[in-house]
Amino acid sequence: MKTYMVKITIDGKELEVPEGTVIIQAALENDIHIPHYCYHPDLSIDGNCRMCLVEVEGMPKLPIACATPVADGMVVHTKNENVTKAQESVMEFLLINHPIDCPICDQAGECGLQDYYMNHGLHNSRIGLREKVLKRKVIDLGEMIVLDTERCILCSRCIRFFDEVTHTGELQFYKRGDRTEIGTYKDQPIDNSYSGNVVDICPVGALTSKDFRFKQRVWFLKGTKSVCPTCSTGCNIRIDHTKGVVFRLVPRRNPEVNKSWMCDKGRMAYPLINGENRLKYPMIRNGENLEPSPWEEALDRVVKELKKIKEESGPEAIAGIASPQGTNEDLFLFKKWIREGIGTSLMDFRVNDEDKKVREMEDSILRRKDENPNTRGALALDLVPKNGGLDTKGILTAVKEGKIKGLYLQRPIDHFPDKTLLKEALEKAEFVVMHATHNGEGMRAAHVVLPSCTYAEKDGTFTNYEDRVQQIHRAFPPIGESRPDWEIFRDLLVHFGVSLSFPTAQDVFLQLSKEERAFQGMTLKGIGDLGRRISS
Amino acid sequence: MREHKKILTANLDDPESHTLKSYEAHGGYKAFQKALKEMTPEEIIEEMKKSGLRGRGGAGFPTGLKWSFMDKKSPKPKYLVNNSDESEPGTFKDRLLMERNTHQMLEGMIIAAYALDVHLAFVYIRGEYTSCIENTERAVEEAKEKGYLGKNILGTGFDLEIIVYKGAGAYICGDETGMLSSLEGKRGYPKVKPPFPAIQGLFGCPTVVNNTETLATVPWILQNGSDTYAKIGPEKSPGTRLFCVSGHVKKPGVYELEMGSPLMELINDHCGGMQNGSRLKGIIPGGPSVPILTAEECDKAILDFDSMKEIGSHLGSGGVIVFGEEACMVRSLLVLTEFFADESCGQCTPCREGTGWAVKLLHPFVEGKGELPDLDLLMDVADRMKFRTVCTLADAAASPIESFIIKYRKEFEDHIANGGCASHSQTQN
Amino acid sequence: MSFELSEKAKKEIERELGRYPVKDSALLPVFWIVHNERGCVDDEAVEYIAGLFDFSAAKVLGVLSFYWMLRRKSAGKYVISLCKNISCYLREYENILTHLQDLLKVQVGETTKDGVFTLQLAECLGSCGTAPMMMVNNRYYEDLTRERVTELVEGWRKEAMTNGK
Repeated sequence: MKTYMVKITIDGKELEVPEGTVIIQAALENDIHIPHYCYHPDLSIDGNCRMCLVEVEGMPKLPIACATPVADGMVVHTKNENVTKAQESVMEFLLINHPIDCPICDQAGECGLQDYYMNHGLHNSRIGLREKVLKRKVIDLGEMIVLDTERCILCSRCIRFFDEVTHTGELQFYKRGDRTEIGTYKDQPIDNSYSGNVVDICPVGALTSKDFRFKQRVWFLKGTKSVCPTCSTGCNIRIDHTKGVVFRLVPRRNPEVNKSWMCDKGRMAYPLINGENRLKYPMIRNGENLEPSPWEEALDRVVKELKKIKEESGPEAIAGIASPQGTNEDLFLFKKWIREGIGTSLMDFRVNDEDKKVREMEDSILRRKDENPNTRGALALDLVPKNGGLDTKGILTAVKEGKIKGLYLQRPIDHFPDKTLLKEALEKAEFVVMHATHNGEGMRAAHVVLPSCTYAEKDGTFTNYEDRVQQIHRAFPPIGESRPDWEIFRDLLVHFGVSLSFPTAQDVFLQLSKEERAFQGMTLKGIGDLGRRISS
Repeated sequence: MREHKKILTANLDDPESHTLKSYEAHGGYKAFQKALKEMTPEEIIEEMKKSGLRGRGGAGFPTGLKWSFMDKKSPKPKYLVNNSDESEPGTFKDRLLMERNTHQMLEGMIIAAYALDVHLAFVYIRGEYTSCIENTERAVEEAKEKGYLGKNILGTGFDLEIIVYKGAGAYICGDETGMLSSLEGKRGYPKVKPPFPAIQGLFGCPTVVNNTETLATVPWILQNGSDTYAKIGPEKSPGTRLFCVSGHVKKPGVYELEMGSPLMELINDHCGGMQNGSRLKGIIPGGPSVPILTAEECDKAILDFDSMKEIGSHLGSGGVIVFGEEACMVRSLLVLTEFFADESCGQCTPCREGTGWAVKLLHPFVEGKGELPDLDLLMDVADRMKFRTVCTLADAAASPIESFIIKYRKEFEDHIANGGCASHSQTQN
Repeated sequence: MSFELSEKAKKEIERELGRYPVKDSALLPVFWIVHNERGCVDDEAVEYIAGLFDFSAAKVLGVLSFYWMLRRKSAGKYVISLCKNISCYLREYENILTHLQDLLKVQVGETTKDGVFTLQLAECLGSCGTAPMMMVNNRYYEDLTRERVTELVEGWRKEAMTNGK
């Protein structure tokens, strides 16, 4: 269907916007902010807060910008005296029953009431000490959420989220008028794998995160744009962190991918980044134990052992198993490393049918069955065996049979379904190198383990289930001595005589976009904040 | 006493007036037969337009025009809802119709449904009106038995089912879209417009909502012709109207008067004047949602939509509330403001918070602890809550606050000076 | 205690559930059926109704609590709702209120110790020409005087005593 453009004027600025958009949307897209509480671009329009009242020439009353569609020739004022008075009035009304407990409120710093009060408040308070409508505070709503009904401004965003997105309807309004109260049925805990989103969309301190509560004032946090790595959907997120510690993950709006949402599983995955069990140093096997070692020593060992196998048994005695946990940059250099460094095409990345699961939904909202962020990237980079070559199972079988002696694993593969084969193969292998982000069981069979940093500590790109290439950014330097995978591969390649000059992940991407057909013509600028799909 | 044409109450002397038998004996159920057998839906709508009938619920919107807005081309089913959620304080006319002239209302619904291509219509009756609900249900059964409702009505091929729907106690469900929300099994929140119900109403389908009195007037218009109707009363507000009189008059009750009658004719001739020789202090002419008129204004007031507007009020719901000199206007305003605060649905900020705030501001005046600046604050709160909400409840709530304080300011000031109500026995509690 | 409705109520509910173009419309009618039978829509009923509609219990309670006539807890055998709105105020409902409080020895919102009467105030009940008035259970009592109220209350008391609560 063809979209017609209409001409409208907002605050003297002439704009051309698609027919059918509402004023608030048209304004936002042109960097004119109309204050609002109940409007949310990914929820139905409710029109209850009345904060977005604007003046439209020719209309007798001030309409709400969130529910008024643009029309050709419409002249809108969002900052004149009438509008300002209306906004001040709404602010005042919202505050008469509000507890104004900002010093102990976790929302402080990102509170819609605080923000607009600075611009639209009646600073000369006329609200006496008369009795406020008292409501209930600090209601525990399960693992994720704490509710303060007194701070609630009844915008119904959370209700609409549970009604329209998860269709579970846990939160509702009870009673009416200024006695209206938000809550679950009999204060029952919210058991819902997307519940964290209502904390994000609550414009005030009514719904706060139990996990984040009182841990950090938001103004001390720095936000870094990233992509959730816990499944192939690739929800856009922001990593909120300070001093190398992540305090929370919140969704970043991408209308094409995750709208404004993320699942709780992804949201609550951040402690892994801060984790005590992060692998911080390279480890080298010494008898039964893995012992920390300097990088140089570990790399020397890897180079020495692999060269030895290569010389004694040929490159076909070494195989690599990549990980769809890695970025496109990691995988691109993994492939180069195996192909040009080792000199073999024995590689795969599929350990547990990732390629089959990558597009399958786990629920009806966002989660997919493939728990990797970059399976489609690995496929696009062709990290699969060709012409009857060995897949992961084939490789492990060959290792078990002694045909393959050296194994290079980008990550532990303890999720390989045939545990017996895996165990036998790893026991049999002469030399196993592994990258790992965390200390764990999977490292047991390795001779050398190289510490890899998490997605939070590196730049790069992931390709999601629908072949959308999306950027992640480094929030802080890698923990300990861990490094991005691509850097490790780059250095190994140099050791194997392949000379490369990739100081940054951006340089890797540039090369990747030249060499890899799927990525041809793509630029990081073009990918931007919202990603770009690989054209088929 | 001047004679008035009776359109809605002509046969109510008959104790059996609510029965089909009585209704038919007095010439009822002829109009719908004429409509179904001899007229096209377009012709009916045209007749309604020509009659000049304006909605009797409160807003006075022309009925024929409203019907013509119905999205007839929509492939979706269309619905008619009879708004019998009469809840405006001082208003009890629809109750009279449902209790005593039930079939005239049903006949109006059948005609409207036919004109609007509706096959399922609802009568939404406030839950408190038990007798109305029982009566209407019985009347629907009677009409069904007679073949006036159901499938293939009188062999015309027209089908209509009417469902009597019982409200559960919420003033806001008398609002057109609040009612639709309630009918949809939700909290009775009025809906953001556009879209208007005629395009997207009940269950998202084209819907017309008409007041009970409006619908009950329809058969008469078709039976007697739109020109006959249009000639009753003033040109722009034709017809008769049911006025519900309560308060300090000798004979409160429902009176059917021709539009354009003087307000004081209603009070003096029909209601027998003030009770106990009291002196008139003011009259709310159409439910508390419209501004009160002082005694002087009442002398000039004419009961039709436009004349009322000219003197700064509105004909509203037909609820005429009469205040004698013994009424405390401060206390009265609190009663009315508490009502709006109780009944605010709570979705829009200005209404939810404004009505509650106004109540809190008014209490000290009643208790004799009021302060002058708060009087201005009250006016300002009223001003700030109106015209900024989804429905008109906030505007309605602002109306008594503003009109009482402006017109009876001295009484408020006296309350401050005297530490409460000095001269009116009613407030000493 | 398990939630059980009479066969009659169940039948009525079934009829309502199939009566509307969208099933949700049956919610209020189902509330009334349950309310008529149990005198309230308590938590058990809320959960039962939620099951009927495949709604969350929260949604059911949200709708229920919007309407003043629907009670969540059972009240006295006679629930007296005295109108407090403008027409009744002008006709001195407060005299009737004081009288009722004296007769019943309860305050507004309370139920008598014997469980026979609950006294509450109501907004306009559309009986303004016959003010003051009250609604007792489903019935209207109009043009109230102190004498009439005494008579009525005594009658109900007797009724409650002979028939048990």
